[in-house]
Amino acid sequence: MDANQSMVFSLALRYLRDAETAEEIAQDVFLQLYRQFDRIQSTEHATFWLRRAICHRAIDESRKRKLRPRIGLESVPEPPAETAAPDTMLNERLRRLVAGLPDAARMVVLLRYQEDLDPAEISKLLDMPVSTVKSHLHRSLAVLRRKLEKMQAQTIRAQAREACS
Amino acid sequence: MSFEDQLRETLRQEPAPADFRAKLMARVQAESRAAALPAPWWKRRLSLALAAALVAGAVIPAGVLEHERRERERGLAARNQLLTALAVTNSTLRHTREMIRRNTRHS
Repeated sequence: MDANQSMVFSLALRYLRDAETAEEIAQDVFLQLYRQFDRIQSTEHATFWLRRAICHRAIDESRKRKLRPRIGLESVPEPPAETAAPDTMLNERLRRLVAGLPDAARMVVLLRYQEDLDPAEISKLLDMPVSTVKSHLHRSLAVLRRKLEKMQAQTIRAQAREACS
Repeated sequence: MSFEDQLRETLRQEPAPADFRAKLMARVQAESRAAALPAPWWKRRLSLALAAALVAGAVIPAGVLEHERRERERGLAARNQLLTALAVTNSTLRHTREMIRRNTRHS
């Protein structure tokens, strides 16, 4: 159950970027599972069910609460240069970039890199053709990589300016 | 580290809040308690009224249909009796007429 708790909570958290709502909907999903526990055949089935339920619930919640404005990755403001440890800074930047992805692409990226699922499994979970999953992954990776490189170049330039002055 | 590995590292699962399980169990127990509690008086009354309405809805049409069936049967029986009586009367009249005709011829 602990592993499933983290999986369900993390998917909701990364998708919605709101810990309170993520916990609330994760609880709802577990409660829903408890109500129909007699229909669950195995632990794998429970994990699949929970993953599917939290994905759809998070997407619905995002639409309902309009937590995320409809903007593309290109218009996401870049995070300011930070003074934290380089790894932490890089992770946080990447998280923000992922959070700025459009809804469907964001969920596909989360399922691929957080849950380590392959495109066929993601396609089953999200009721989406495999080709669409692959296309979301390909485009998202390209955009994330480009955006991150741009941000890193800016940071290096800023550090160089600081060193010169 | 490749870019994809970096993404995996960045997006690794976060542990759920420490009290997640406790909160969940509290909700499960609250739900079980609510399911086990007897329904409030107005709900019981409403259920009784609904059950009564359902029973009445099922019984009344059946009673009406049975009454109509009996009436129809009684009507058919009366009609048959009347037809028999008419037949008897007809035969009696024919017989009487025959007797009168015979007597008239002999006298």
